[in-house]
Amino acid sequence: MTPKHEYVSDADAGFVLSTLEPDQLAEAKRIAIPRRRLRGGELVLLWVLRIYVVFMLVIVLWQAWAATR
Amino acid sequence: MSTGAQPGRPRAAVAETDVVVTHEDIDRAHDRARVGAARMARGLRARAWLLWLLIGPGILVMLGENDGPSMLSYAATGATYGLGFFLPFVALTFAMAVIVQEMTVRLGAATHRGHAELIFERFGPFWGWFSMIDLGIGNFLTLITEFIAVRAGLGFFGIPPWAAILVALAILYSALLSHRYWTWERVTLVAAAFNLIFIPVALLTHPHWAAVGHAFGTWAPLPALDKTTVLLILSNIGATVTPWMLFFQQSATVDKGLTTKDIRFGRLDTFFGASLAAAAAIGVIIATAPLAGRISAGNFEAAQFAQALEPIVGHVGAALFALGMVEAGIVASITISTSSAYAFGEVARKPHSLNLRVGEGKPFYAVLGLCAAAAAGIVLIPGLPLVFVVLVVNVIAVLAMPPALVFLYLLVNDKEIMGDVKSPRWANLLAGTVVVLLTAAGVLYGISAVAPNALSWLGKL
Repeated sequence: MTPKHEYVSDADAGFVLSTLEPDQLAEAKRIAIPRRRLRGGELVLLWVLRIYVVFMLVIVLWQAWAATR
Repeated sequence: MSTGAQPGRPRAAVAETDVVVTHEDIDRAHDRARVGAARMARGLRARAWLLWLLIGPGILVMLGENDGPSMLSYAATGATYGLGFFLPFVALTFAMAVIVQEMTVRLGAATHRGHAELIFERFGPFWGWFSMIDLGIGNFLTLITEFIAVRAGLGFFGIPPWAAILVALAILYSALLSHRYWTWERVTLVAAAFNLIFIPVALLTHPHWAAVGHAFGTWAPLPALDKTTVLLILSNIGATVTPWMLFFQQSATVDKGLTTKDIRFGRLDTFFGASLAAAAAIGVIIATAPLAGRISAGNFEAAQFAQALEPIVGHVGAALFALGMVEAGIVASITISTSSAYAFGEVARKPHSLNLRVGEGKPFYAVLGLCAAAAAGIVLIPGLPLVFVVLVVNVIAVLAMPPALVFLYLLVNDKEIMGDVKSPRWANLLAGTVVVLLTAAGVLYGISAVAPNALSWLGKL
């Protein structure tokens, strides 16, 4: 293992690599987790809830506007 | 101590010949080394030390959510209905919060990724941006209300608004000065402990304990099902279960460096935090219960509640109440602005950790500082209808929760990323129940707004 590091000593790098899980390294987070396709039922549920949020938000804003007048 | 990741999940593997180590990693490794050493030790004292090392995100998220608008909701509830249905109801909402937040602990510990990051990577930017818009709007509006609470609370002591806002910002920024997650977490935990100040205020009112016990035992007296009740039901739910909590606790779990071995302690942390927060919330309802029927609690600000309580709890009690509001606003402004910064860093793929030096994490600290400064600045603009924001913020939080919970549900049931700690059936059943309850509460609010007469019909059922 040959750690690359600009400002980190070899001792520190060795300590980090022996202490943290590989996925915990900041650099590991640059690698994306593979995409998962949403199934039909999941998509329908998410769209229904999205419409619900938008619809309810309009009601909330209208109610709050009326309450402050 | 080197531990492997969960078997069966795709690894964001770093090739061993091309490892980059940063200062952020070194700081986290020091924290983890202490946990490793504590885990090796035996005895009760060693277990207590291990618990002390591992608690943090759960307590912070729960006490952080006992924020300005939440405490005002509880105060309005006590001052409107006194002791009754809402005491056990608030305890129930904290039980819902534990169910939801426990999932974020598992998700963070298993994947070492933040919530925003996982939604973007696993489901794509289309759904990711929807979540971010919900989070961004909710967080910014809530931040405004935190500074309103600080302004009102310090206003009780005659401190002018500009000075109150400067105090809040100074505390928020000074918590970041160490550039260490551990120090930031401990400083914020100490500040959050002052949330419990509402309990002595409740005791100063000499509560009617038989009525408190009766309320918990029977959920009675029940309030009439009308617009006020529905609004307070939604406000109290929004005071305990909100989207920023999901994003914050998962990101803080990752930043703290918790692994799957720590999940049990993460659960304890969450449960302990919820218990403390529930005690403080119930304390506010009990403290303001003597005001029931004496004031109109609709648009009350913190200072006005404190003044109204003064004849009952004396000047010290009223001052404690006002200080509690200040604490609630300051701690929440710290946790909510941090949640925004984590989410931004995760989505923009910029370094995002409280272990970063300012030079290494300029975008992270810029978002954190600017969100807080902008919200604080808005509170100082004269003539803005800020009551409007206080009225809607908890309701918006409840409405945005069901879609956020569906993403959380999908992620914690994703065997590829969760491995052996994917949600068991009982956890899914509880999570599904929470989604149904939150959606039903939102629909009830919609009915109360569009067809208020239908509420009386529903009340007769």
